[in-house]
Amino acid sequence: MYPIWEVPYLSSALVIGLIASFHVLPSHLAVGALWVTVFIEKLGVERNRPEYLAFVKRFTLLLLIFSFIFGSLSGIGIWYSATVSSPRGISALIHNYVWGWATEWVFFLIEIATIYAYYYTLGKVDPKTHIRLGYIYAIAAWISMIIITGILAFMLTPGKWLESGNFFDGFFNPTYFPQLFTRTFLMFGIAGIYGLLIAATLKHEAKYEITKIISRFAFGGMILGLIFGYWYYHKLPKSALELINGLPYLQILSKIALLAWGILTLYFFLTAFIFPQLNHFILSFLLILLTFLGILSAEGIREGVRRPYIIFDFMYSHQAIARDLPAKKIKAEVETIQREGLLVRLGYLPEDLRKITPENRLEVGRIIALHNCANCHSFTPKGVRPLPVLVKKLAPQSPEDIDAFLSALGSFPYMPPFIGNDEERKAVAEYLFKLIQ
Amino acid sequence: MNIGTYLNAMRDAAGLPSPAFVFDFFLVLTFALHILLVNLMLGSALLILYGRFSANEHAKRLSQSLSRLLVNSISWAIVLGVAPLLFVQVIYDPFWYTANTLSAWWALGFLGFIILGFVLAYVFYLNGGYEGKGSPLWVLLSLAFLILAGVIMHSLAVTQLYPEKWPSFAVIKGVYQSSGSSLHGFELFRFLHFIVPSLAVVGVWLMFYGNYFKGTGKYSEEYLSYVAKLGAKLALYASLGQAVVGFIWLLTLPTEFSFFTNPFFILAFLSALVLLGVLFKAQGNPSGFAKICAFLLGLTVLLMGAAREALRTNYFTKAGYRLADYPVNPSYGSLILFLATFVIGLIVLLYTALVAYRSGQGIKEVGYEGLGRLSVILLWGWILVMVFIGVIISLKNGTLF
Repeated sequence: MYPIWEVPYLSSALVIGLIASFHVLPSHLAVGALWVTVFIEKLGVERNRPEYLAFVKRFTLLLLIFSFIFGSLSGIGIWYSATVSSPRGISALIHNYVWGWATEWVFFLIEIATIYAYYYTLGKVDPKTHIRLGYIYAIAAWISMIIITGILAFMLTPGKWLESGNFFDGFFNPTYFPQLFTRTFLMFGIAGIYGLLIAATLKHEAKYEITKIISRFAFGGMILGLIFGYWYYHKLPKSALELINGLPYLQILSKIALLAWGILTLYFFLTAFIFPQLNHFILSFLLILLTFLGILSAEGIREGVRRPYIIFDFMYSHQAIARDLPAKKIKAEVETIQREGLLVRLGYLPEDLRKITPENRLEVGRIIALHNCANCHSFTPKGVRPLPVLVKKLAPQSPEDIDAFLSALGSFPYMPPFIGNDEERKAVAEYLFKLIQ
Repeated sequence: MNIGTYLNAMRDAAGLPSPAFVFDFFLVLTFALHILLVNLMLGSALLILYGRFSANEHAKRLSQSLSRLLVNSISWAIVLGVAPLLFVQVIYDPFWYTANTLSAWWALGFLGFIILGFVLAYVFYLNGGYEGKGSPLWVLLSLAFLILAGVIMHSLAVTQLYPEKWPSFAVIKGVYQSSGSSLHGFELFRFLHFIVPSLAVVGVWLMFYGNYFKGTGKYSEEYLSYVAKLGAKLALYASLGQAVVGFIWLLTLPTEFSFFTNPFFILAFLSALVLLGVLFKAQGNPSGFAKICAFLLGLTVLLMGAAREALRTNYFTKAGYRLADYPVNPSYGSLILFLATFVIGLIVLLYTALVAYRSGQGIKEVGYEGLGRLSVILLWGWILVMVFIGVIISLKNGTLF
């Protein structure tokens, strides 16, 4: 095991969650944006309306700044936060999907090249070439979604990969297509709300024409997104559905996500067909915040239902491998660690901490507790799923009570089994008992 | 358990999907491209500052063009950094992940500093940097944050070289340091070896600039000649500086490596010598030497990258980690997917580059129709093939409905 990182108040997994949820905004904007923008540019050329092109220019600048600073770096941020929160988890993904990611990277290169060319050459090259640049960008960006969805969906439903270990079996897994279509259509909604924000800043008469075009795209995307989202929901594993229906916080998140969807769709409907004048900068800006809240909830559900795994049925949140995968000569680790102990695997520690002694007992207990719990629980009394509070709720009378609880951890549906041998578990129990004193 | 046993035990259980040398090759290649852009980014920031504080009108004029180069090169440096970041995690995962988790906040801070550097470069550009306005303070701050990001990446790389020290970083006075709030290494001359070439790279860029705009009527001949000469001078002096830094760094390396006899080092050294010779010659007529200097610079950076990789292998072998021993579970399909996409990508990028190149020279009807159409067809073809494979596999596995 790698050294473990403790994040006070938040837990390390939530650091990934926050960055990942933020990333959805600029990344889906980057994928959806130019389909609509190129369409508007085409209309502008056909109708000889230079003010349409002014919108295109302004929109593309926003895209450059928002998606290509914050979007690209938050994308790398997910990777970095996973690196420091769940190194073995991201390593497992990378060692299976490195060529998938490398393929996606080629499309990143195309995206960067074409978006800069598109922005700088507007009005400087013939319209046909310029529109083609935008079109190439749009396809390349969508392909990057086609690729990353395979890896994201794999984490929740690895499907046949669990037997074959094959790249494509894992990539085209049970939730791949529903998730791809859901994201593909909802991205028009995300691009749409940004488009409306930019359109709201226009001063000329084309403002409402452009508003209507954008809102129609976005409205269609939201409706189709919901339909495919429904398909996606029904393809989730049974245990995931049980968690959604069983855990109150996931139900709240579902309601927030649906409410955000509803309000946004209504806004698009009104501005597309009835009252384009409704599009106002402040209103659109507030709706972007609502969109973020909706995405945060939806991604929270997607992450939440995967519990207690990082990769469903394969790797637990504490980064121990849950099952054999003979095709790749991978062996399950939990029972081995319970037999041989965790300390022997912590080669980054000095020798004297890799054996339990009366002097280091509490510190070793803390280290093993961190490995077992810190990904999802904060060790501070306040914060996300705070360990001191949760342990206190058990009202243990002695470390032995906690030890008994730790032994039974794996029987809870959303908790991984404890990793460590009997002596290590006892040390953890003593540490936790001390923690709540 | 000694540290070597730990390192080998920490290799990913899935093994590598292709032999290690394939990743190593792409790691060195993409890192060379990345560091060239990093150097271009730092060099252009430095020259913007020089131009804004210089009394020379040409230097001032140049800083305008460079304000755009700065934001563009940051973008490219980031995206080109993704590939080596990916490949290093595949073959050197035990080193990479340990160093990063030990300094977790810094690893995240690295990205935060890049965001700051990037945003500030944009603030300068959008506040009139391209028109010769805007406060150079933004560039100065941007440069500071970007260098800070470089310091972090350097420190993480140095931490990886000394796995035997990890336990002393992880535990201090019997207490495990779970906060990830410390950095654990810095080697001045190694760091300088990554930074000093910035002025050489931007110098060669300027030689190109002089050549590119010649005859377009966009700038005066006098200005273009000034830029090209400045470029050639910078490239020469920075390359000499780099040679000195490299020599001192070589002296600080463990003698047991005998690194001066390493073939990659010797090749890089020879290539640098040739580059220096050509740069000497180029001082009289820089524009005419732009292409050959760019080629030699690229080659030298690539060979230096290969030499640094060889050096890393020395350190890792010393720690008991042998790359060639990494188990392989081949995934031919995914490798073919990447290689085919790489070729498609090069074609599409070529088309985009040709359009941008001509447009920059003021040509409106850029042409290359056939290549443009081919690019679009190839992208749609890619999607069709993937959907076809996806549907077949999903039907075979019974996962589609």
